[in-house]
Amino acid sequence: MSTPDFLNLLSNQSFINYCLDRSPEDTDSWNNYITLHPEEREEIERMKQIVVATALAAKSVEVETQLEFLKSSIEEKEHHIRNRRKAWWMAAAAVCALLIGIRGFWQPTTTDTSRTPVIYTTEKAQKKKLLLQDGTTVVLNAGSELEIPTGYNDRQRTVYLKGEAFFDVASDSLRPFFVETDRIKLRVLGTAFNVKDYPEDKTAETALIRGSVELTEAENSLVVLLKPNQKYISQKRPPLAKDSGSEERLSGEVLPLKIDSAVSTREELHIVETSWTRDRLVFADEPLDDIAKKLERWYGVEIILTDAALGRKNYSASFEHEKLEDVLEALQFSNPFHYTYKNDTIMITR
Amino acid sequence: MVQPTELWERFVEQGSREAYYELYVHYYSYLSLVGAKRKCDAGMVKDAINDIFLFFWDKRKSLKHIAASHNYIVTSFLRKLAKKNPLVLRDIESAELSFGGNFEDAVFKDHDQQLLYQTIKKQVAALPPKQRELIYQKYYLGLSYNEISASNNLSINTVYNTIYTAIKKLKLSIHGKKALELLTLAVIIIFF
Repeated sequence: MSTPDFLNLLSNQSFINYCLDRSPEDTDSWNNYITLHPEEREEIERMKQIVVATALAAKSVEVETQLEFLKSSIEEKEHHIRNRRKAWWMAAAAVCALLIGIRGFWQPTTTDTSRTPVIYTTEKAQKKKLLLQDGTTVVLNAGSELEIPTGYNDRQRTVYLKGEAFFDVASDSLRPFFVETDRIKLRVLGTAFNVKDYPEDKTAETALIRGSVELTEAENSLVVLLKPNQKYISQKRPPLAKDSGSEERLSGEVLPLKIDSAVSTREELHIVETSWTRDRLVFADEPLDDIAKKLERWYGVEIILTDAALGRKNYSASFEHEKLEDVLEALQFSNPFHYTYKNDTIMITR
Repeated sequence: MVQPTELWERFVEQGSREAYYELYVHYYSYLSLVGAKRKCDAGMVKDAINDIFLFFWDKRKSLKHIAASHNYIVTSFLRKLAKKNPLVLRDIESAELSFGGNFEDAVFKDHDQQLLYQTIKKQVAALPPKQRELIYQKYYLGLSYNEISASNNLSINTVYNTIYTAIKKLKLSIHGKKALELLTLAVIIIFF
């Protein structure tokens, strides 16, 4: 055996066998080698630790990933079974109601108290597409959480959102659809719209693609009625003094949606606000501060901006399936900055 | 550690969800190895493991009569595989495999090892899924480059290069960390 290149060692079959104690021959031969080359003992020991830690880490991550998968399959299944059971009871109840001729019998059964709310979450750099039982589709953006409470679809449909999601709500005039976030509450009928309310963002945004939306803010009772291709941006602001008796005011303003000019044609307009659902990362004249937060969620990294003035500089760009380095490089073009990328952390300096 | 037979009992007798998930964790790698040694496609093996565990969950009330749970789990798995790929042998005898030595406890014995493990785990979790899977098959399951190439439908060269690149990345991340520690130490020495 010649002097080992330590990096090659890590992927050397016989060395891996030795580290994980899988073959007596390899164990013997490496023990011999160490006796003959005591000066390399320390580095070999170090490599061995890396191999063992890698084996266990890979196992742990793999099994955890698969377990999550199994858990969600089971949850989905149970949800489905409960709904089927409920549908059966509803049908039976309807038949009874018809037979007996009593109105008001059409109440959902309250027998299954075992039901629990379902919470869907996405990690950073992850998206999920969901189909709710009433036919509503939801695309959940990275770092978000959607709660479907117990009794959803019974008499009304309410969901709770943290983060960002695109909703295409199945039309049902008897049961309006509500979305609640920390800052806003929406009441909709059949509609497609995008809601964004991340706790770390300064503003919350509701963008309407079609249909109609009634919006109220958490801090006042005024109602904003959005028309298609409009969005409402709620601002965070200090709470009003209670004794002032001042009139209630809306925190934000209604604006038109932005067109993603890079991909829009005369026939088909694409909207910036929903571009993320098509895997497009678009910045439309946005400050680097906001862009950094988007990038953190999109790529699952941490970004540290060391210069406040730089954070206020605006950028416009759009990307599709680009590596983070390429995105940063493109941004550097329009307004130069320096950055270092290490261990999932990016430090941006002037 | 709780014995798998005990987990099985808690699962079928009391319907314990925790025991069921633990059982899955316990058997996942073992069944992956059994499948790989029979030259089955890695994706197919994953599906088969998931399928049988979902089946166990559905039928948990009717599984109480099963005495030899280990044999039952392995046989169910092999049957499932044979259904997906008729070339798979179904005899359970040759399924008696093990992961070899007792390296698993070694990692947690001291602080440095523990730290190293945590650092590597974070890096492994951040790897692209395919790279991560190959690392799992190479290092934990202990498959040869030949076996990995067969069960993932990749050339040996691709497998080797992918693993080499991934492990290099891991090693570099550790060195980055080490350098930072040294730097911190240097700063402390300068200040005091």
